[in-house]
Amino acid sequence: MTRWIPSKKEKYGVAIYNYDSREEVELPLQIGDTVHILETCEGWYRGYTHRRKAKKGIFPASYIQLKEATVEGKGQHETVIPNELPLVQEVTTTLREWSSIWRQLYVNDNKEMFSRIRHMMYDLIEWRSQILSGTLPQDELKELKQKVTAKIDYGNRILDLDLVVRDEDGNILDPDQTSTISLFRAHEMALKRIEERIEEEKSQKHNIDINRQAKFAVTPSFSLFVTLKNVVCKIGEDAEVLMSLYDPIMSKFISENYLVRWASSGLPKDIDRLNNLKAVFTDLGSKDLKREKISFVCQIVRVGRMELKDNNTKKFTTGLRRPFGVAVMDVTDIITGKVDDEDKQHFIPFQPVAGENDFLQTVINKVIAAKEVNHKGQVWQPELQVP
Amino acid sequence: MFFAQDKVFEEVFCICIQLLNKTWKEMRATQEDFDKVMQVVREQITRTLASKPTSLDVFRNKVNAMNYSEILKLRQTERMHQEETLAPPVLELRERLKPELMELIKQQRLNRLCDGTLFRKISSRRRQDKLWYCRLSPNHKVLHYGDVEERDDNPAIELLQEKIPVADIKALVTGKDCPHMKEKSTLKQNREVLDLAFSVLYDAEDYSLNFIAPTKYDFCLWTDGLNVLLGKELNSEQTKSELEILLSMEIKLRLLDLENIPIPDAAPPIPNAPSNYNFCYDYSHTEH
Repeated sequence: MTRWIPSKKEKYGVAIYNYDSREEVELPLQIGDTVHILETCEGWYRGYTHRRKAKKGIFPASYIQLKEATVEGKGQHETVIPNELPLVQEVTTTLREWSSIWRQLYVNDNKEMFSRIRHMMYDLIEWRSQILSGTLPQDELKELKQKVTAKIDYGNRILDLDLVVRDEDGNILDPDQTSTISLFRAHEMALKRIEERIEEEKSQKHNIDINRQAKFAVTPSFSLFVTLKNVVCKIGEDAEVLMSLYDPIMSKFISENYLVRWASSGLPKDIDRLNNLKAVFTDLGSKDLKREKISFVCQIVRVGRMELKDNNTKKFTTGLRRPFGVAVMDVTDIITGKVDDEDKQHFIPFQPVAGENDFLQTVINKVIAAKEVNHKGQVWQPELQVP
Repeated sequence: MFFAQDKVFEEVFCICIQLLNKTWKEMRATQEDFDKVMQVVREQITRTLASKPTSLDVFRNKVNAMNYSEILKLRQTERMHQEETLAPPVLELRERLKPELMELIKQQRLNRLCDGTLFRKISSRRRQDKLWYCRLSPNHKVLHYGDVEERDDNPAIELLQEKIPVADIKALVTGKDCPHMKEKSTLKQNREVLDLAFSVLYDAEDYSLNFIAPTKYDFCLWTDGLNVLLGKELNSEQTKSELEILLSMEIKLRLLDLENIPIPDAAPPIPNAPSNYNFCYDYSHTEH
């Protein structure tokens, strides 16, 4: 009959299958459990799992895959440290530490941190697999190590865990072997690096603004491309259509007028240009883009009689320019690039002048101020694009 | 491919040496990485040959197309597949972990119920709907509710006048079974409301407290929470997806130490019980 002898070379292993204990003396195993083996006899090991160190029991050797490990201590009180790359070990312990915090985040319903930490953990797991696969060349390995340590440090910081101080290679500094001053300096540098990283992440939330600013820095001037498709409006006479950009806050026009002559028949005077009424408002600088609101204003000026209702043909005065109406559209979003507006046609409702003595300017102000324009079915149809 | 030429081996050799050079540069390898580069090149050649190229030119083109980044991508997808084709012991482990994680979800639901939610009252008249707030007491024994004036996100429990002791709650009904939904016909516009409606029946089905959840998420939260209080199973879609997230992360963490170790398909054989239990080390004083 063989005795139980303390195991010499078999000290550390991992369970490759679930083992359900049938007797009190047996230790149940779950797949993936790491075990510390103390003694062996007849194909059985006696030991404990690192998950529950207090309970010791026996389990079959065939359920264990042995791994290399260094043993510290002797006899009853020995401890076992697996022989893996220190970085890999650090990742493993960090992941296990974070997982209990992550669960707590779930229970407290902290959704944002929960999903951030989840993604970080998945990244770390993937990188750890890559390192352990042993197939990466040296340069890539170094890069990956840096990525891993940066991620660990960042995660520890946002979870308010202890800061791990490293040297340039990413190894953890040993306080017994480094001087106090260099420890302190390394500590400072690590803190600074992590603060920078956090600032970067915060500013990524205002990503849109930064992207826009970057865009503006590159192209100092912009243009707005407008195509006028149609004016559906009963004027009864020839008219001039003036289109321009207007700043309602400062109450002034910021561009010149684009003039299209429109005949009384309802078509532009220049028939060949029917589908070709295009204009580009150029040279919009960053000052224009910073305006809070920009509106696209179309003014219609009727050319002809003094008063439209006048039916006395003999007493006509012709060639008088009378205000007819206004159509206004807010293009702030298009200009600032928030709305991607290629090939989109807009219908701008039209507001006629209230009385013969009304100025177009007042109508413009009224339309801008009003939220709902009672347009009675008369519309404009331009098409706008910002290249 | 191999029988069309005279000096086949030399030709293939030339192509492969050029491939080795190219891969070496792509991997930015140094002297010590020689083995790793050879591994990658072996994979490249075997995979390309497996696709049975018809001539040497096709072979050359294919093998050059499969560069290092392709190999990396393939390795990554294979790793992910490995995790998905779960071995039997892993599936067993999943089942064992489910109850533990379900407990977490139940805790989370009860915590959210203690925070409470703002609900709307449905009124037959189309004016501003009234708002009311409902939350669970910290000891999970009483459900407090009451009207609130403005959009108050966190009224104190004392401000909510009415309450129902949890012990009196008889059942939870959803959708069409709710008393306040019974009159509504199944028109399309009512379907949305039906999906968000639930009621708590208490005091022997005479009374009911009717809710219309503001969003689908709140609906799942409240029905789950009330099911927990009633001791029933949680069965909303939220629960299923959250359980999946928690479970997959837990399994990944458990299998961390099994990296690069193959899992057997069947349980390994169990040897006969040892003849004695005279252990060397005596831990009886530390065990309880």
